Amino acid sequence: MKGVFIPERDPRDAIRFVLRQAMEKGLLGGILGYRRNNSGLIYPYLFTSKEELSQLVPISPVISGYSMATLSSWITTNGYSGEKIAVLLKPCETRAVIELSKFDQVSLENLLLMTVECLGTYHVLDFIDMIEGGESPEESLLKSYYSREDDAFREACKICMYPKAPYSDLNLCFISLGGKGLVVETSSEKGYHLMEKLGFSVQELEDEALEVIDIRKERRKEFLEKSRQDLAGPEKINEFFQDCINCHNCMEVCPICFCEECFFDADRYEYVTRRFLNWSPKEGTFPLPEAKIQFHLGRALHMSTSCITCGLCQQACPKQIKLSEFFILLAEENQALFDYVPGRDPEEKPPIREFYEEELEEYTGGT
Amino acid sequence: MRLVYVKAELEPEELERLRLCTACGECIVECPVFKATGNSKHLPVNKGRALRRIVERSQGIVSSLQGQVPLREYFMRSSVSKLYECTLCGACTEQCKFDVKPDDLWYQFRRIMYENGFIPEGMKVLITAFKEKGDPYGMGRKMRLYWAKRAKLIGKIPINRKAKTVYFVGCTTAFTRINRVSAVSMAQILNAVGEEWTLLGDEEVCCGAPWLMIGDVNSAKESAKRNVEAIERLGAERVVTTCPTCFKQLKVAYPKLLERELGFEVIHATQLISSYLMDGMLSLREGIREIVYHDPCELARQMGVIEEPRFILTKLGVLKELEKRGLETQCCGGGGFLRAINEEISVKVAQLRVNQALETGAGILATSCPSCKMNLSEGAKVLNTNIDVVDLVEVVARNIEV
Repeated sequence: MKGVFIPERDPRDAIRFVLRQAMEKGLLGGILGYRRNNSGLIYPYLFTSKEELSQLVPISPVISGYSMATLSSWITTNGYSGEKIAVLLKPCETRAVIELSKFDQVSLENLLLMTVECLGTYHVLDFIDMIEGGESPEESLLKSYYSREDDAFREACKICMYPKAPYSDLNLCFISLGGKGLVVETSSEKGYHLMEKLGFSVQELEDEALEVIDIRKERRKEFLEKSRQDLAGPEKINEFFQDCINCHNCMEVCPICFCEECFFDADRYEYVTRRFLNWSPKEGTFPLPEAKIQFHLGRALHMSTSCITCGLCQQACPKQIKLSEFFILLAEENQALFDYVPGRDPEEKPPIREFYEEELEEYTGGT
Repeated sequence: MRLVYVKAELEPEELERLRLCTACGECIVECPVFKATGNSKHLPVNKGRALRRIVERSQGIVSSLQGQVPLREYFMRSSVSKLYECTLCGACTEQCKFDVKPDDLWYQFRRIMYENGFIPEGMKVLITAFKEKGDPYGMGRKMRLYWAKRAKLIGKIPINRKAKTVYFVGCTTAFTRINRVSAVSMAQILNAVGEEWTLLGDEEVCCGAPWLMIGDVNSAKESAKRNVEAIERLGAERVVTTCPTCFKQLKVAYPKLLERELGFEVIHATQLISSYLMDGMLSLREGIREIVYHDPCELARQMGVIEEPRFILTKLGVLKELEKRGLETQCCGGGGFLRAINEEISVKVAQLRVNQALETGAGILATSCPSCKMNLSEGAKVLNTNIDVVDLVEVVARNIEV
């Protein structure tokens, strides 16, 4: 692995230092990251001057609402071709950006993906509780990173296998250093050139895997086993979604959901009373609100092969449905079917956009 | 695909609040319109996202990189329809843990839409009449005192005289048949107490709250100026209203619109009556058995007048409480021009609330807002029940002990 080692500094200061240097030398036109306000809450912000960087939160304790992947899509879909914009991302967000680029929703050309190493983030409601309790979520996050305790993180984070993104321009690693220094891994040409131009000498460094991976493998296995049981058969699925109120908030926050306008938001689903009455003798009973299972299945059909298992759907659910069980299980199985890893390589074609005559013979019968 | 350039401006503080939304979904469960329709386009999160798309392209993250970016016209039209299918009740604000204050942002969103010429079909006729006649009902100033004429009160009530207290009637109370009785009751109460009071008569114009709901800030300023001039000319010390919308507008919005302190105090009728009761200037007899009280959103949640109406009602009879009350009250469906845009949804929302009231078993449903009274009666009519929907001042006027 190639990279730059910045010793002794607090990783947050080191990240700000690199960014400030890049802005001073005119290598970056802006930085998309989180900014802290006076009451300690954070929100996404585009930093365009180096004076503002003191308010940047480089290692964010939450993924707040729309992930940075969605925002990266907003800033590049209109064919922006100006200066480079650095985006500070979590590994799952980086993978989402790569996936979106395959659906023409992000143009990677102008972006510099800086992935901050991550062992997990807090649920937004836990985050607000911590702030109200006078605790600093950022400090406690780093503390649990260094001691490898991930009990307080979101469920999806606890079984996440990607503390580092498989593809990124720069990987910012700091966890194994325990707060003393930062390793900037130059994983792509683009990242390499930036660090060179900044005057750092890129060296061959030793690759260190984080020890949490083995524990997480076990945990993930258990999790998937439980999900398989919870979702075995149509009755179980009906039961799983019985609390769903069709608010579509999971779709709103999903970084992968790539349709511009959702079919399930269309007026087509506003039926007249007569149609319900026509259905009821046929169906016996059917769950209301109508079309909620179809909504989740339809959404899964679109995005499960690209699902990066970030768990934002579960964070956004007002009825606390364990949506990550559903989507992580589907993602695991569908991606294994096509031997596809979302976010692995921007050149790889997503299964949903490609069709081969000889594939899935056990389902199609080879026709 | 037609594209439009939209000019949207928010204050930096408002933009920050908009961005603070984490889409955690806490606001979803209490939205009355979503409860009634189950359609996700009515959600606060959904509207917030639309607003953010527009603002980020006009003055935010996206525009600072690419300059003005056009939006699809279809997107704007669908946004404006869902934006007006909202009662501006503020339940989302009450639920929000991140201090986004969505209901305030919906006012700004409507302003942005109005300034860019996006007005829903159902509002166009209304706005034209509003501009011509000066009130959203299109009645005109000559009709302002019709309620008093009908009740044969002309001559018995002071109009446009110098007095300590001004009773600001408001359009909904003055112009809708179901609410005229509230104005008459209020006049009776003020007379019974021997208050030195007056009406503005045809000097009164719409308080301007509807203009803010539509997004026309200049017209709202115009209304504010005319009303404040009329009130200050009479040398009044306080203004009392029976309508929570007028109350909020006069008390909170006027100083902001006119950028100065007002020379008078603004209070709601329930506050005035409860102060009469406390001072012993008015006494009531226990005239009713069981009564259930519905908190109007603007009065309880937005202005914090919660205890006063309850104090009055306990003097009148046994007060039954709804589960959703006080700051957590549930909207009747009558706010934010929802009734003008989509009456069907509005009545559905009202039915939810009337059903809750029926569960308590009380025969009378009291409220202290003309708009709530109108909509809840409509809901009760559709449900075919005989629960009596009344304004609090009516019950008080009927039960004054002489």
